[in-house]
Amino acid sequence: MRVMFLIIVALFFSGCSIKEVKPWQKEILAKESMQFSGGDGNLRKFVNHIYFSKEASKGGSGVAGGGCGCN
Amino acid sequence: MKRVILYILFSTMLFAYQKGDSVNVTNLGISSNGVYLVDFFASWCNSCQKELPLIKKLSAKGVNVIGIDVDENIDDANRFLQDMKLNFRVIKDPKGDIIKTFNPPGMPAIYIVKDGKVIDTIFGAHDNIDRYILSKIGA
Repeated sequence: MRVMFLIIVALFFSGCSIKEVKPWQKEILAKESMQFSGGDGNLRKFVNHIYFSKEASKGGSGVAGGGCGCN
Repeated sequence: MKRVILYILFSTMLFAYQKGDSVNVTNLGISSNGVYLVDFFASWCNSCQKELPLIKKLSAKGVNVIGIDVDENIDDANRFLQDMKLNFRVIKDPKGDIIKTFNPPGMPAIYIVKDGKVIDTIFGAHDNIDRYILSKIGA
C-alpha cells in the first residue's frame, strides 16, 4: 500500500515535468529574434519610446539609469 | 530511500565528466598519454567566438586542441569554421553524441584532459583563458 502510494506520488510529480533544454540545444533561444521586441533595432527603439512615454521612466532594460522621469 | 532521492537529485551531475574522470570517447582521438584540450563551441554562441582566438593561440604554441562544433546545422558549422580559420582539428557533432557524454552545464565548455583523465573544466568565456590554461597544464 505504501509502495503504491509512493509510486502514485512519483507519477504525479513527474507527469508535468518539463524537458530540460541542454546548453548545446539553445541555438534558437540565442537568436536575436528571441529577444523582447525581436531583432529589429528600430522596433526595439519604438517599443522603448512607448514604454518610457507611458511610464514616465527610462532605463531598467539592461543599461544604467532610469526612474527619475526627467527626460 | 535517501540514496534514491540523492541519486535522482544529482543524476545529471553524476553523468557529466568531472575532474578525475577518465574520458572514454573513442572518436576523439585522445591517447592515454599527453595533454589535450577539448573545446565545445557553436556558431550561435557569442562567448565561444570571443574565446576561440585565444584557443587558436594555444594551438599555435603546440597545445593539442580538439574542437567540437555542436551546430545542428552542418552549413552553419561549415560557414563558422571557414570564418574562424581554426588551426586545430574540429569534429562536427550535429546530433550532440559527443557533448551528451561530457554533458557540460554551459557553453563554451573546455575540458583539460591529461593522460586520459579530466584535470580541469572551464565553462563560459573568460578573459586571458589562454594564460590560465597554460598555467594549468604547466606549459
